[in-house]
Amino acid sequence: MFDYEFMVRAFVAASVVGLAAPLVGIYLVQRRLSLLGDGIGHIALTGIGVALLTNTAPLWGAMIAAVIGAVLVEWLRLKSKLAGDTALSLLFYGGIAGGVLLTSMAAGASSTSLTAYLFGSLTTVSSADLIAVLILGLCILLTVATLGRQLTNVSVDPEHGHVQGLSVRGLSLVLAILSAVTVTVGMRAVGLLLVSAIMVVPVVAAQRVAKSFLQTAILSSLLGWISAAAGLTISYYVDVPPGSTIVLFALAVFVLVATFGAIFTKLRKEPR
Amino acid sequence: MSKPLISVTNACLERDSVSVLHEITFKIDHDECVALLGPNGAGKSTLLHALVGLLPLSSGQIEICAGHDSNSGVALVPQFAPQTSLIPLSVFELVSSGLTFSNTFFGLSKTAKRSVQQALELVKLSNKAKSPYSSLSGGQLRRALIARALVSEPELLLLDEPLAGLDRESVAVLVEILQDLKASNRSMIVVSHELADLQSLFTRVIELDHRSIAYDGVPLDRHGHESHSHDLPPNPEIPGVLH
Repeated sequence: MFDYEFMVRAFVAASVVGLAAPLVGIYLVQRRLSLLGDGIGHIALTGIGVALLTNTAPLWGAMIAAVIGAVLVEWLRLKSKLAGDTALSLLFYGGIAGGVLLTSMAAGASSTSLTAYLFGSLTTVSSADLIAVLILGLCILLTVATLGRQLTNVSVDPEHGHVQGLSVRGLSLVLAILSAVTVTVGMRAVGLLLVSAIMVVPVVAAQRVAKSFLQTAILSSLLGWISAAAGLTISYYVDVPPGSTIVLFALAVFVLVATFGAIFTKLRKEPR
Repeated sequence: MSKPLISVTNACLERDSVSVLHEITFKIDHDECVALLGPNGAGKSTLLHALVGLLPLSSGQIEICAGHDSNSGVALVPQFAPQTSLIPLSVFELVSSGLTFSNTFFGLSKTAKRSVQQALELVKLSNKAKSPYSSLSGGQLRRALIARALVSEPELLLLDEPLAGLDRESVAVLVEILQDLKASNRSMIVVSHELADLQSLFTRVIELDHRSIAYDGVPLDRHGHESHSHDLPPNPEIPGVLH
């Protein structure tokens, strides 16, 4: 499959998403915000609509909308008098409705172009898209490498983080923006509706067998990459959509790890 | 004369327009080991939280002179551990989270690792470093939280009910650790109801009652005399008495 240049680009893009997305997802799972990526994906759709309407690059339109949405979500979570999930749902519904409406108004855009962003379109990744994905992926890795300990601290024990002089709100905002960037990076690989899966599923699988935060981070990143690479390869040979294949492969890995993890734990507890 | 570690002046604190602390004034000097006493609801834990900045004062001020560039000055050991971590967190990682600004997630320096090991040795948990913290018993968890506070080498340690809910064996281990800390000239403020086990630790008692300080001075025995005994019977009637 690597004879085709578009498949090489698809493989590199999928690998970046598979490696980087769980490194952000681990903090979302810890903070019980697993669906945040899903919500931000809805909001990013409005950015796609605006980009199609103004004939600009959809990737950057999606990212601007996703970052603004992530900041709004964080602000609503802290300040709104509405219940957390109610406040978020208003934003999410608005995001997806705005995206569909704006896309329908864009000249030349069709439901097919919307589907490509909703469910991913790895094989149409251009060289410009790939460069953007690589830059954003690098930004995610660098941010996690530099602020990882602080993000871990405020995710595990925000009160202790505050006592230590960490800005809990500031770091929550960093995490929200990081999630927005990850959603944008994952958009071309698995689509806005499925991007949350590649952030969360490998983490949930890794946590079944890991014994520390660091082990979970490394293992989930590895499982994310395996899912992305294997999913893309299967989709190429079986001729099925890559985004959904990647997510289904990640879910299969979760079932496998959870089963073997449970068996291993049971065997270890059995009296000799 | 050296500056006090912490200086509280006319501190008042309100929560939902209800006064919780009123006109609290005291100073804590180096090498002092203070018992913070009072009935439930007197504001002991609230005062500890205010001292570390978790609760803002309505008026008055708290001046912290402890600490310098390389350490955080004051550290709090909470009564309760953080909620169960969804992601497995090893005891080593929990303790190293006390070293917030020193390193990145992927690179703990050798010095930092040594500090964590030393803190774990101090609380007798070296053998549990790689275990998930969710597997620790109540007493072990309390010791891990002390290690997390100690790893940043604070000059003043604030402990909120360190012995609450522990069995006799765990209490004995923890009391020994606190005695070691006192012997190493660590200043402490301890909120506790289990004073029978801790009274030999204290050089001073601050008693809160009805949101204010009712007594601030040396520990007294049940007759109101300076306490030297390590085995005092309870007497809740006289302020300053280790009851």
